[in-house]
Amino acid sequence: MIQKKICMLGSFSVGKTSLVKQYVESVFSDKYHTTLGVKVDKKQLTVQGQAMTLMLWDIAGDDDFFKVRPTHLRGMAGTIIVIDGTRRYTFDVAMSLYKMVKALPDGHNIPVVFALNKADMKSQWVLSEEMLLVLKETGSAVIESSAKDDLGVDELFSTLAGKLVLTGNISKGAIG
Amino acid sequence: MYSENNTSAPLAPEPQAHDMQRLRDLLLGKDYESLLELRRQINTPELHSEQIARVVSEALQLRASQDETLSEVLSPTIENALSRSIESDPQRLANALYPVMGPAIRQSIQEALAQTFDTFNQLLEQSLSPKFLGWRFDAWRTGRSYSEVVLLNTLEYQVEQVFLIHSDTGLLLRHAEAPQAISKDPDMVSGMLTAIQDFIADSFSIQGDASLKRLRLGELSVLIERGPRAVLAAVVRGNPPGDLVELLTETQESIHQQMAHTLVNYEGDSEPFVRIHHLLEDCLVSQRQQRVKTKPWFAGLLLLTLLSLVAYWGYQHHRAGQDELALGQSEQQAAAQSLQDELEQKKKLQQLAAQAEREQEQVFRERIKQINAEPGVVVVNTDKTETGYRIEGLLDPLARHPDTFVERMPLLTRVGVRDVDATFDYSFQPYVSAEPAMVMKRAHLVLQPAKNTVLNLRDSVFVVSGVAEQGWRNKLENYWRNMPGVTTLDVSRLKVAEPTPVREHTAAINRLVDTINRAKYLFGAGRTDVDETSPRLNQQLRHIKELLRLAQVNEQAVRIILTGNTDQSGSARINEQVSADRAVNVRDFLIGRGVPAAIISLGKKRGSEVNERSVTYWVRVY
Repeated sequence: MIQKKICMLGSFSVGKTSLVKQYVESVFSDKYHTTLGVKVDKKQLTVQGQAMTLMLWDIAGDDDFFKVRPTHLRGMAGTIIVIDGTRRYTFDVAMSLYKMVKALPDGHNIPVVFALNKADMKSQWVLSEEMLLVLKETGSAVIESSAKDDLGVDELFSTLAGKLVLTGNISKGAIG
Repeated sequence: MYSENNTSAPLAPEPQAHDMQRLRDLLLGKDYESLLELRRQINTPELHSEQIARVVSEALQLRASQDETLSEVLSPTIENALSRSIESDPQRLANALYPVMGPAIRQSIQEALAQTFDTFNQLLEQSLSPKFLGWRFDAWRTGRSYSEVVLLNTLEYQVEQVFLIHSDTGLLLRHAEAPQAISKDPDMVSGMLTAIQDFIADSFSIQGDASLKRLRLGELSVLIERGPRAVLAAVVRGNPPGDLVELLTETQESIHQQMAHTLVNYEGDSEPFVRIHHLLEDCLVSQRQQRVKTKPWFAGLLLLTLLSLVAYWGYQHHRAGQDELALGQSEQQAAAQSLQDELEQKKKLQQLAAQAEREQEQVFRERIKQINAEPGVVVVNTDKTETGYRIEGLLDPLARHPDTFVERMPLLTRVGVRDVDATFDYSFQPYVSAEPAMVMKRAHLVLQPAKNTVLNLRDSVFVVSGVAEQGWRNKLENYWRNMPGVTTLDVSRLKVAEPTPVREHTAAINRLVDTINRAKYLFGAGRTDVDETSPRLNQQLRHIKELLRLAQVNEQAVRIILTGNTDQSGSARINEQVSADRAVNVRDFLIGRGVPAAIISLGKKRGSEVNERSVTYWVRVY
């Protein structure tokens, strides 16, 4: 059984917690978000015959009240950066988070999956073709998801888990 | 020597060897012999073994006293030898161990029994103490088993769980827990514990290597021992002693020593840490409370209570005895006294009955007062019946019936016993009350003033103020003269408004038309019947009625066309019939709820044109 630390990143209220909730049964209450800025959940899955435990660090949204703590990113094996398709601002936040991840020691080895969330409201999306292109050019997987309609949620996590199995990667570079 | 040299000179190689021999003899003498003997002994295994056999025990003893290597070297061999021996003939080893195992097992059983007796004894002793009851209560309250609560309370401290957590990732490497411990998912706890440490370190910008050492919540503590690669966290119930921290530090050191390589290259595989599980288990220590022999204050209290009870009973008995004595002394006097007592008792009872009757009478009068205070009701006569009262009077049809507001009152059936409510049997004649409240109520009912029209009654003057339409004004003129007790109408502050502006209603009507047209009634597959309790349908009905009311005010006509639809499954002919049935059923529902049949018509049979199991509305207002 291999364990991996996964971080859920993204702007405030893009639906990180809803995605995690859709995916796992939580033990801890959501109030930890507002107090600690992070909540840890667990999901066990099998990828390519390899049993794996994902420890999902759902990190409070990056906004004026909560800055993502670099310590929370320490030792992560992969990350899902969530974008709310209906809010342009969340794309900008996602890109800056992406750069932050890649700037970590050994960051270039950390696989990233972009979640284009709120696919149930696709008619209200404001993401342009150029923006999607920018995401794809990073070489990361880009997956449309909706926690509400349970769309692409499993795919998000299994894609990332698949990449982890491939690279057998873990960020060994510690911060601080 | 010389001559020998001479004689041997011509015999070239032979004498040379001989010379060497001689030279050796001369130089080394007997020592050479022994040297050769020594070499022979070493080269001949039998002789060499013989030599070593003489010293081997002493050598082993000597080495064992110097360092530990001997046991390290020997243990694999001994283990192998033992397993070989057991494989070949288990009985032999069993026989050899028997003298040791027998007593050991007996002692272990004895100890276990003694411990059980001890616990049982302790429980028995405690079973009468308030502490025991408290624990029972705790067990019931927290849902734990009683034995668990007892254990928790008699423990000085116990390490319930030990986590070994990877520093960088917060991933759980290994977890050990005591048998009675309640633990949530240790993987997640491990993650959150790391997050908490990060949180503290970040939030209070701690300098250097300082880190969170201890968390405490009530009787629980979390001791955290940080190593360079891993964190050891112990969850302790009770008061952890200082040497527990030492134990954790030592464990942490051993783990780092034994798993150094695995820790550095950790990539999420925690399997190798099974090896050090016993180290974590060694940390699951606990210490029972030293039982202090307390004074038996509880038993003392019990004894005291018993004593006072006995004393009280004795006193009572003594008094009773005295009374009896007095009675015996003057029996006749007592008999007379008793007769007198009886009479007095009777008198008292009569007094009580009278008193109760008076009380009930008073309550009844209160009730009558309450009825008379109500506008539109007048009590003319009352009678007492077996089960309560009969009340005759006048009742304005607009007034509240006393049954709805008069409080119940208990009926006096026997002396001092009131166990049922008195019945009130009303007999009212209808009348029109001239009481202001009733006059106003009637006026509101008949005139139905608009919201901005205010009605008032001042003595005999009917004051109407605000704004009213001319039509209403005419109605008022006709009505007020028939109002009982009213002699004058004061309309000095009433403005006559233009007839209601049609536009205002038109907006409301348009809104309603829109709402009704958008609503549709949906059917289940193949169903044509209408659910009369459907909230949406009933709301639609309310909208239609409101539309009718407003249209009437506006003097407009309303027409509603109902069209039934079906989905595309089924044949066209059946669908046509189903769509028609649906429209008819909705129409019947509306008519049944008071919508005039004349304004509803049915649209053409549309069948599955719009592919929807519904009835849609089309409303027009002329």
